[in-house]
Amino acid sequence: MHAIRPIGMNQSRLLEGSIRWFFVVIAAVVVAAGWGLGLRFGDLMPGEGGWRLVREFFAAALVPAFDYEAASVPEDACPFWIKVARAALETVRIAAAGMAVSLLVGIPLGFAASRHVCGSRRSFCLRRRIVCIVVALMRSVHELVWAVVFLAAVGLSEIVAVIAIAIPYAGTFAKIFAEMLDESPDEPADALAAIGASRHQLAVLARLPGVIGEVVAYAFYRFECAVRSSAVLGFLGIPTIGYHLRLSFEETHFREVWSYLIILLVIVVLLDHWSHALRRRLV
Amino acid sequence: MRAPEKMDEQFRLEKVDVSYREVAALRQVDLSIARGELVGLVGPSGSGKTTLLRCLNAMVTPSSGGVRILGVDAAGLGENKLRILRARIGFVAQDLGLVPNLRVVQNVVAGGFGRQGFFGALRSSMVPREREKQRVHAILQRVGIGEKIFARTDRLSGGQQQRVAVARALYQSPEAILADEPVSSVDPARARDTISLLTELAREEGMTLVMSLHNLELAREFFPRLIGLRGGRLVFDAPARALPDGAFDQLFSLTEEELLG
Repeated sequence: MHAIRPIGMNQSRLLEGSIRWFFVVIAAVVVAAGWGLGLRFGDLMPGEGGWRLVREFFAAALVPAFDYEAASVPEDACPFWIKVARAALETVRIAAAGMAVSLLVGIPLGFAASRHVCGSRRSFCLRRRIVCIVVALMRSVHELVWAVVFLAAVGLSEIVAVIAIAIPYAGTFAKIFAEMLDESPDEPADALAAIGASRHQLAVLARLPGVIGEVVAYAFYRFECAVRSSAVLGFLGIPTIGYHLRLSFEETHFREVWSYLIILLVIVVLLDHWSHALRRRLV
Repeated sequence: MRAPEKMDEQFRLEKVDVSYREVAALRQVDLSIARGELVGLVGPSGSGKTTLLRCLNAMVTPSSGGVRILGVDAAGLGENKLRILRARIGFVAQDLGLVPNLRVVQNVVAGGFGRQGFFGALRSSMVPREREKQRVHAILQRVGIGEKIFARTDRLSGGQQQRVAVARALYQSPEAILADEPVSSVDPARARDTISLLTELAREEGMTLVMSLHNLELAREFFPRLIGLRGGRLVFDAPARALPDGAFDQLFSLTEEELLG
């Protein structure tokens, strides 16, 4: 009966009103939180020494180090750029291993957490609920916390970093993957269900292809996150970029710090390019 | 008190009622379709054509009444028995239900999923065996697009994609094919091609074909038997030639209450 109507006066006013309320509420939350925490804007102003440090730090960005900044370096030390490259490689290796494990675990969990893999006739599916709870537990603890726990248990080892990344990443991947499957186009699955395909066949062969591009893009984005996590885990002593970053920072070798930060940026940009290339082929 | 089953009967509906939530989609439908019949299903949108077709492959469970499919009582069948039954019946959906970013061969071998386990289907889809490829190629040639076997499905024209959907149904080696307005999305010339292809294939193979369609001229031209539906009830079920000219008008004209309602 009715053609699609453009948004009328009433709707647009309503929209404006809700946008205004959105900002009012956000502002109220910020003020309330700041007051609750006892924040003062004055604390943000650095002191005399602080300003000098800030200036030095950002000045160093223009001339990142290609060699050690320290006056004396041990005889057997490798060239600085090799050290940076090794740290970068270590960071990527741990991130890749963690990501691989998280995919191995997260993909099956994602299928199990999807609405479509459950019996369609039952509204309540116990297995799916259990999987969802497990997935929530995995991702509710940050990788740094997992790492601290495992470090205490097994000591300093790269496997600690890999597992610490893999657990929350598997949980997050499973959740998002399940949601993507839930939202995938229904047409192919409906047509194949009508000719006797099983629920598992439908999930993998009719639904997954419809969202494969998004899944790959998301996996790459998570890989990027894993590289950052892997770098940060270096603060705990695992020899990734974070480890060296911290040592250089403590000795105020800011130019070295920037070398590490720049290599991190390069890794992320390269990953992004790879992701785009792969996605173009799949979608 | 069931009527004795005829030897060559493939589908039988007895006093079938289907309702979604509170709304009745089919009311007291009685129907019998014999092997090899070509049946056109006509009626305005919302008249229950899709629901009727979905009863024929047990995708819809009637709220009351009996459904026999290929000699099997569909009521109370478990999931595996249902799969086996559905695998014997080809289906061409209105939206075709092809996976757009897969190759044609992958969409066609999907016709075999109903007879395969999970890993068998995965293997056929990812790395089709040589004999599977040959069979797909032979079927595609039969529907006139043999050279498109490795093309991406979404690169094909609308008419070619319909042929892929038909090929998938043929890959099932079905005893009957159900088609739900498979030609509603293409121009009349393409629609004619596809309907003529399907009816020809059905005749050659001795398959039953039940197709719902909007276009009444095409329905009359290609289907010896026509079933008219309106508001979930059978209005007529007769040989196309025996239908009086007014039959279609009656099917599509609005009643007074519908106009006011």
